[in-house]
Amino acid sequence: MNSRNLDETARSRVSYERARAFGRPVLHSIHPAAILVGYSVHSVDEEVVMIETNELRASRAQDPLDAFTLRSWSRWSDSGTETRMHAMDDLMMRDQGSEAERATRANARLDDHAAIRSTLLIDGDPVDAEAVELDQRTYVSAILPDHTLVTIALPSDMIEAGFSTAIPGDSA
Amino acid sequence: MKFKTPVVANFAGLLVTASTLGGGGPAFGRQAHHGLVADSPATVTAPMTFGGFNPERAARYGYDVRTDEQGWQYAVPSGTPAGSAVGSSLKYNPATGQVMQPLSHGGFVKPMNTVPSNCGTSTLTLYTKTSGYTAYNLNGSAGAALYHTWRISMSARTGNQIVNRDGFPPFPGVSLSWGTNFSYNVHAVIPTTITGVVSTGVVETELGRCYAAGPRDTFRYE
Repeated sequence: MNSRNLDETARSRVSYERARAFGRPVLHSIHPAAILVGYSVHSVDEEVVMIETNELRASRAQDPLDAFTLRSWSRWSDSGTETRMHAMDDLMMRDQGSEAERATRANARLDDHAAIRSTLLIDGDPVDAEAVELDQRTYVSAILPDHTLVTIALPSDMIEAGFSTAIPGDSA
Repeated sequence: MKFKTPVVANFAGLLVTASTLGGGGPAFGRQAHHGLVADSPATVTAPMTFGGFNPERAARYGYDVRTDEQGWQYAVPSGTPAGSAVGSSLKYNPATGQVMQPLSHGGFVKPMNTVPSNCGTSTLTLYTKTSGYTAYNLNGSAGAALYHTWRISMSARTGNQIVNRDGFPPFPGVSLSWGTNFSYNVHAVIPTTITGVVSTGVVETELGRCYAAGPRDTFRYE
């Protein structure tokens, strides 16, 4: 699956313009296996406060599908809460059981892991970040120089490639 | 690799230095965000109703939308012999909105007059005065999810807010489920009852469209 063969209904919602109109850096993995699916939003009373880049890892046929997300926030009440929620979304998506069971397990697992200070590469530049690794997934948050909060949940081995803020053209 | 203690490491390209995090808003570790999710959250679940086939879209996914003698529509894999319901989706009556669920041997479960048509469930759980979780879980009878329009209306005596989480499931065309934690702010002060409802919940699927009926949850801040 890639953005070329997404259903037209879905493709019409990819909305590169939405990402451009956000006016803040929107992250994309530059790992060679990363495939853009589209952009999801979090808006509050019609104001878009977060763009979520939805990406997949291109994989061999026998590999399970792997999805990951990168979020850019223009406005937030608590960076720790948004970072935690993003990590919980990823953990819960990958878990089985009832919503309550998955939420409780995700919380407990995140409680057991303290974040460490790290550096993220965005457009080739180092950015101070906080990170936690869990089951080959890494959860990262950073505040960019323009005060955009970015939170990332992705396979740990895809971080090394770094990230770009360039938004692909509509023909991508 | 665990990060319970400060370490010097260089994992997967993150240039890690030897200091744990402090300061405002930590996201991880036991000091952070207890109460973000309640110990025993009461998840509110509501059915999702099928809103009709999209024949063009179904064709792109290899399905023909057909109509039986009684006017019920159903989708079968392209090339299925006429009259066969093997491999069929649900059956939908566009006149009444009723749905028959398919059986494995090719028949259908007859609709009950008091049961709404159903292509899955949706949930809403308010955990705290500023956080909640919402999700949908399709049963597959209308195909996999492609994209969703998802708005949660939050209200309290102290304020209202509409949170929009339009977007994609993890694997469009494959996923049957999506869910997200979300933050909101109705400026709640003690005591306040906060009500949340999925006011718009529409999932575009391979074969058509599913609508969330609610769900609604309340959180008492006191």
